[in-house]
Amino acid sequence: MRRVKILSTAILIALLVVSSFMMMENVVAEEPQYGGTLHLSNNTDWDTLDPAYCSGFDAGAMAVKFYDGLVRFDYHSNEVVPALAKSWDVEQNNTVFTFHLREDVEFHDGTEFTAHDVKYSFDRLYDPEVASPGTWVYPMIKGTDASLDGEADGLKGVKVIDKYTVQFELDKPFGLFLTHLTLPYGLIVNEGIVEEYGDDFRQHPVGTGPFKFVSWEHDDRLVMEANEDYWDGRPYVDKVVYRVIPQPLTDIAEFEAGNLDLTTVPTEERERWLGNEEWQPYIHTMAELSTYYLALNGDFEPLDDPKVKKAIDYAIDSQEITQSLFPQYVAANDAIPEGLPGGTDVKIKSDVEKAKELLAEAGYPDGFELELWVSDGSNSVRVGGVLQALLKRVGIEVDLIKNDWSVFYSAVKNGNAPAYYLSWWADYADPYNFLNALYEGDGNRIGFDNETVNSMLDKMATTTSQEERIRLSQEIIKMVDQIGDPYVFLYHTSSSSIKQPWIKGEIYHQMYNADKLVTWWIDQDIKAEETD
Amino acid sequence: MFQYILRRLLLIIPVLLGVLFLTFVLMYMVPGDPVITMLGQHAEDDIINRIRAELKLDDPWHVQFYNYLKRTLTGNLGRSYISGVSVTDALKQKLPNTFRLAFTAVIVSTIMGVFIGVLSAVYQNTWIDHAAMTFALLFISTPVFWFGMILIYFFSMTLGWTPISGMGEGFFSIKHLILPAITLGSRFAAFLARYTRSVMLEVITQDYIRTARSKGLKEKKVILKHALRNVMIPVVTVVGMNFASLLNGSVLTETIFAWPGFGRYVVTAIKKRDFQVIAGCVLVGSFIFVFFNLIVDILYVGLDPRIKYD
Repeated sequence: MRRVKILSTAILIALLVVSSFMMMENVVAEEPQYGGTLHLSNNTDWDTLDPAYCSGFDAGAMAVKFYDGLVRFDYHSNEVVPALAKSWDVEQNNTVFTFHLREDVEFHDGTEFTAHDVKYSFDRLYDPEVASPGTWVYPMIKGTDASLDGEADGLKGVKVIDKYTVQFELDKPFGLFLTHLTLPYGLIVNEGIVEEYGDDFRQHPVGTGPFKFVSWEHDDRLVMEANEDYWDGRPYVDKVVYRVIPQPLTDIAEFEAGNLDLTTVPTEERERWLGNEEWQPYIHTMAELSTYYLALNGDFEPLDDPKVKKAIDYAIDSQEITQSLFPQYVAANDAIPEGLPGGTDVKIKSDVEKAKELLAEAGYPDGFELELWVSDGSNSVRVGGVLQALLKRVGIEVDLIKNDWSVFYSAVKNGNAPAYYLSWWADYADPYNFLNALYEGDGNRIGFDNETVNSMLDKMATTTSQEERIRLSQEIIKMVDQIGDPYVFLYHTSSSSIKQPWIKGEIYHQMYNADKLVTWWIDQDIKAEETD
Repeated sequence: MFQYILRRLLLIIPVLLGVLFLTFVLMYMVPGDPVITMLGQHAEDDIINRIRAELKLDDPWHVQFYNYLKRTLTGNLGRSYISGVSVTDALKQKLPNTFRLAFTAVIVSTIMGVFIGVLSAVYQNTWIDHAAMTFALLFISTPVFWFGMILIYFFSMTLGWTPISGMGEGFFSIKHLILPAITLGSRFAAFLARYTRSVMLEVITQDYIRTARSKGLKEKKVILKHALRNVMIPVVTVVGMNFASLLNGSVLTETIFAWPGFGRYVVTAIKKRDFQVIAGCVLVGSFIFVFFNLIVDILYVGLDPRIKYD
């Protein structure tokens, strides 16, 4: 009996030892490896990588690989964490931000990073000669108007305290100031480097970021290499090659052939890939911070009548549109996409009879004619067609006006489109970004200007409390729903990324500018095995 | 001959001026704003106005035209409004890419088109003729986009013979070139086969062919030496004109095969209303067209001894 006990104990110990070795082996296997080249793609060229001109998501996402800001998004959450600023003090009711900078940072050409670079970067953004499209981001900093008008040399509100301390003074409290600093316009450049490259600086990024610029053949490829001296530790991969592949089907074919390490599954191919068991462990589907909507411009009759707006809302079933056209997306009940707080349980309206009743009450029992503007993208035209059919059911005759993006967007921007189909994508992960863009009296393009909503948006901008912002967001959405929402929200998008089995440490972040590619690594053993 | 070439070269100048003039008038009339397109949804009115002023977009079109001409005469085609890249530098990068693609496409499609056309005419009303003309009809009716994807599926993904997309290393990677060249040239090859067939049918009924045959020459020699040379005169005209068209119209092929060429560059510029790039591309595109016209005219002399330019 005793023998059996000893034997069983011995076997148990042996098993434990073996399993712990096996576990260790697994842990060792998951240790990030240095080296290798990452092959990625983008469907469009980046145009420019000068932070002052990064108005598009593609350029912004690329610029953060070469540059750093004072702060950045955490790689795995929407929390704002230190970057070039190691810490900061907030004083005087959120109007004075003092940043203490890292002292161990160099630009790619060896120039030391100091507080002067921070001041220069923000001064440059508001230099009228630079004419940056990013002036909407930091108007709360003191002296931006004077600088833009050419009345001041530099921003009064950005002061160099000492070599490694810089202070920002705001006109009024702004609770999202740190979040705004994560935007590509807040990336730090060096005066000497900007002057050295002159006009070519837009095409030749030299920052403090994890990757150094190697080459860029427009519309073809952009190559970068690891910054060995990166202050946050060098990236695992030695090199990254981005190819510009405009056609999604060609792109996924390149992935299938093993020439790309990660890509986005084209919408029309999603079903095929998601249904493929072999690839399932390597596919990641994520809700995007977007909202697609039909806008009703109150400057045009009869869209100025809240009853008419409500009738249109009742006539359009976003659930139906989403299921029939984009089954992989989520039907929208309000402006706030999945993954962001601040959304509500306001119900999706769908009642044709009620819509007809409301139209009759508004004095349009037989409906009316409505110009609906869409861009000539295939999705826009499809959605436009469905909206046309749905509104016809309540007697509204839709005249669908299709134009290329430039003409379409100029009409929308100039307030010439009575109704239009468009989307909003987050600049940063906060409901304020959506609600301010859609409902703020001065900013929207649909003649919506409500004092209470404006004042609640002001409060949202001022407060630093996330709970308070969420509460205000929900209140605004419910209030607008009551008074007649100028928008019919249709759907929120999602995307599926697919990676090769040898790719590890990749990041799927809802914010386009969060990933600096520093966590990615290539498991060379798996790659050798798979590509043999 | 030299005087003729010089005269034709000088004639290019008013042609280009006329094309540029029309381009400016059209760009001025077409709705859409490069600044709004460039700035996106955040664009504030004052910054839009500031950038418009900076780019001198508020000037009347004739002032813009005059300034553009003045600058162009110094060899400066300006910079893209959107990316800030010099148009001349971009064209230096993209034109050679499209040139090698169009050149290969023309070679492939001419060889195929002329061969099939001649074969079809010589074997008129046989199964060879019917099969050749059915294929020609098929290729003319096939959308380029679909054809390109099918080629990728078979030759790159299934057989693994060619790369899927891109240009590869070096200036002339035939592996990378072959599929885009076939895609770009397929419709032209089909057109050329039909065209060559009809010209050939006309030529082989001529008296001099009958004479050649009656002299006892072998049929092969009659076709290759006597008929083909006469067929080549109209064929060269078509090939020359189409080479310029392929250079200017390769956007779909370039998109499918991720080929960074002239076609994609100009279409993107049109979408973004990047006037500097559009004007530069129109200027260069027109020059290519007119220049190839001249080349074709000069080639006539070599092909047809009756033609002389004084």
